Amino acid sequence: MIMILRRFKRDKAAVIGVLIVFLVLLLAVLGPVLSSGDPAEQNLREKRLGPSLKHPFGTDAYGRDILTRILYGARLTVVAGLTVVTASMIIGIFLGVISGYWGGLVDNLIMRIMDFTLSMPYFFLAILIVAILGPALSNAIIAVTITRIPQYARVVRSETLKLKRAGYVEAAMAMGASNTRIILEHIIPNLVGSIIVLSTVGIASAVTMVAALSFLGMGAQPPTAEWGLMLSEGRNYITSDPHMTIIPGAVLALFVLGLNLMGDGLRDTLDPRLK
Amino acid sequence: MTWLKFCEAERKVWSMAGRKNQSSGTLKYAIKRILMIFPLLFMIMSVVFIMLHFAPGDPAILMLGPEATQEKILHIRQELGLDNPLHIQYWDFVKKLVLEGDLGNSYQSGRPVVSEIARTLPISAQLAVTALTISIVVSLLIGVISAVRQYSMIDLFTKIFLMIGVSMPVFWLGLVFIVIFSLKLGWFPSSGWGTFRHLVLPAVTLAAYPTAALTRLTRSSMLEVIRQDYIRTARSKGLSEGATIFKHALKNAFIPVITMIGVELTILIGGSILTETVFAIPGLGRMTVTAVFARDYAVIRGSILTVATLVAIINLMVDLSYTLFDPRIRY
Amino acid sequence: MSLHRKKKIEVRNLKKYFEIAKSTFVHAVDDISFDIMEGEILGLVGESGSGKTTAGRSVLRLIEPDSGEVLFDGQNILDFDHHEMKRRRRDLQIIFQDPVSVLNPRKNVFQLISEPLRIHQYGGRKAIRERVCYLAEKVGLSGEIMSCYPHELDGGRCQRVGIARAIALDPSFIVCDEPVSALDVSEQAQVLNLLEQLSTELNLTYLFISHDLSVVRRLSHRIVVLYLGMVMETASAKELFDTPLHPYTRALLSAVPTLNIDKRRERIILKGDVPTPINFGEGCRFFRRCPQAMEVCGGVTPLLKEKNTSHFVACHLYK
Repeated sequence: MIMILRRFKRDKAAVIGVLIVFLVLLLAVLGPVLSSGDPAEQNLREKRLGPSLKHPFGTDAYGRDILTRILYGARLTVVAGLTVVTASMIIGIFLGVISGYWGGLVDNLIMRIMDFTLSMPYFFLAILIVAILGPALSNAIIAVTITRIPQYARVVRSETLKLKRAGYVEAAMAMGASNTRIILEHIIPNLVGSIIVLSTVGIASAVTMVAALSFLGMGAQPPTAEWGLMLSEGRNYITSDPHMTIIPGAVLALFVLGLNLMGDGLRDTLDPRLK
Repeated sequence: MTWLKFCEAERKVWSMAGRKNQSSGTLKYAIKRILMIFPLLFMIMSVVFIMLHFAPGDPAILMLGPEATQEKILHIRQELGLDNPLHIQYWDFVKKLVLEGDLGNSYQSGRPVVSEIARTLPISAQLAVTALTISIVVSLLIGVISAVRQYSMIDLFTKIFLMIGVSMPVFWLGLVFIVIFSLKLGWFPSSGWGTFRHLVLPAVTLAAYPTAALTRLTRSSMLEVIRQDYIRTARSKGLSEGATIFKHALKNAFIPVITMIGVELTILIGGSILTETVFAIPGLGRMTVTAVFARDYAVIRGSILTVATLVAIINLMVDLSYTLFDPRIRY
Repeated sequence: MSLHRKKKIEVRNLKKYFEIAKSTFVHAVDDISFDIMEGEILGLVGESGSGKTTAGRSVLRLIEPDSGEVLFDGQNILDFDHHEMKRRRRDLQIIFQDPVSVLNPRKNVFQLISEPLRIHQYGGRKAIRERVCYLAEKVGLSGEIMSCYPHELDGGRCQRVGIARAIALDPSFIVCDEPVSALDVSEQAQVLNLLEQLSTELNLTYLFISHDLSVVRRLSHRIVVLYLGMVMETASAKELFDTPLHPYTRALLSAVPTLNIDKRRERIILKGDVPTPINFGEGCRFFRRCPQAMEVCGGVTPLLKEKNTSHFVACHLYK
């Protein structure tokens, strides 16, 4: 464990990534508490102002302080990203292990469902799901989760197939271990490595996708302070007040950058390759 | 000199002879795969149909507006067959599709879905292909150079550029470009479609992520290949650097790249939705989004079916292309 | 050896075929029968492909046999249902060939040895800890390696961990599947000594599988010789080595290096390769390679018959 951390620290880019992510997380947790503003508070006399001392990021079309909204938005974005990754990971592991361990009909069925999910570009699938469920942030999260599950399921399935044949699995069977015990004690712990790699990469794209859905109007609804939604709202004023749309997007881009740096760093430390 | 030429000629003859066997097996595989597309599409179509059936919202109301009378609503519902049970609606849909190639009519415009798709698909395709071309050309160039000149300044800049490129949300990047190149500099239009200038910004926006991803892959793939023994052998035999790189290294580095190109193409199709929305381009993606808000299930169905078909075809072509690049892979 | 000991294991007409292609079966184990007395060590010898590994696994129902009986203390374990079988596994253990791959690389020695105890709910933490310490001591492992991981140990120590796991629940029967084949010579001697010692101390019955005759001779009381899934000869270790009857046994023995010049034998080299036991019909399995083959050997399968006391052979030379 310690060795891993030490190696990680040597990768400067990764460290920067972690710092960025940590900063955003900090803002997400503490920001709304510390900042004085109310993200929904409208002040029509102060609308569409550029960055100033009072409003470091300016105000939007309704006079709401953009910085405050970004802080609240950070919370939403982080929660959304974590939810998507955790949910898709758990469901993906569950399906992948069942598919790989028991095989047969169940395996076939699950794989067919996965094939369907993978048969079209992620985004189309997400839109389809939101079309059915209705536009809302929670539905956007569900939609993105569903698009992510097959990735986990496939990797877990192939790893499970390999691990099933391991010597220690046979030994455990010879001792009379139940299937549940074998899965929990022997198979899942040895999956952890590949899962972590997938997850770190996954958070970045999950976050982006949820924001993208909100941008299209299929995710968070007004007056929620969500980065993607802010982008789309600001777009109307792009000619006169570009800061309204550029700033939320910049924050999102920065966060994703941090996540990617961190994820790459993690991947390189856990799975040393020639770079 | 002549001996070398003789070897080359011999090799050509053998490869042609081998290719004959190769193509018959591959042909069978290709046919099998093409046939398998149909059941897959059928399943997709069925699932999508059933899923949309349970979606909320009444197309009739949306079509006619909130002022519509009850009478009109019932009339439209009857016309569209919306009150029939699920299996009857499904069967009607399948019949129409298979026998007449008809996907129904758009609830919004009343025009046949097929013609709507025919109108928008070429636009999206143009955009996607342009973006893909840009990304392939740029990524090959930069990827190879960066790999060959590892640890140089070029490599460093490349890595930074890649990192940024992979992280930019495509819709934000598009808006940034609009602000800079369209509003401030006035070089390109910020929306619309028709001329070459309309194509530039969206294509570059769309190309950003795939370029970054492909460059990464090309670079690391090349690095791996360069380190292999057979490259050292080729070098020691006296082949020039350029020849070595192009003939031996590139060919083998290409295989994972091909897969990724296929993957990227599918992502491009998805990414087109956002880009088309940002730049107000009348393509398939934007049409789908509008259809979702209008609850135009006919268009949604048609659009998804089209996209799924494209993805299946692309996957097949990628798989088949392997035979060209790696003689070890044969079906 | 007392003649009134009861039979621990009785294998009757055990068969296991594997279908590798349409209507193509590999006769891995083809109608073998043998008995093992309580406290006895029965050696099962054969080349690779003889079916000895499959036989060992089948006896423990790690592979389900296609037909036959396996009587353990008089009861046919092939009749047991899932729960009963799980219970019985406490009594029927196995030691594997590759000592390292059978140990989960993420678990330390303590966790590995305690695994069987936990599976069968041996008791609370204290009871388990005491038992693990006892077991470690019994197999000659020092207490310090409890927190070590498999990749930190050499083959010999890993195998001791495997042995500790096998005896954890006080079994009465252990299948030793080539337990020393993956070890170097010094480790081999140590592990063999340990196995022998445990056999007497804990009154264990072994089915000792190996391709190495010198190893088998060291430990076994009786030996069964297997060729292509069928028993060729069964005898006490001493008799098998002194007076081998079956031509195959003779060939095997001729290859065993011995330091005693008087006892050195003519090396018998068999012609041909070992065939795969696919779709065998009638006839002796050894027919193609037997230096003493007769015409009848190709058509009629020889039955296992008792030639001398407790010395069985399946060969047409002895009628």
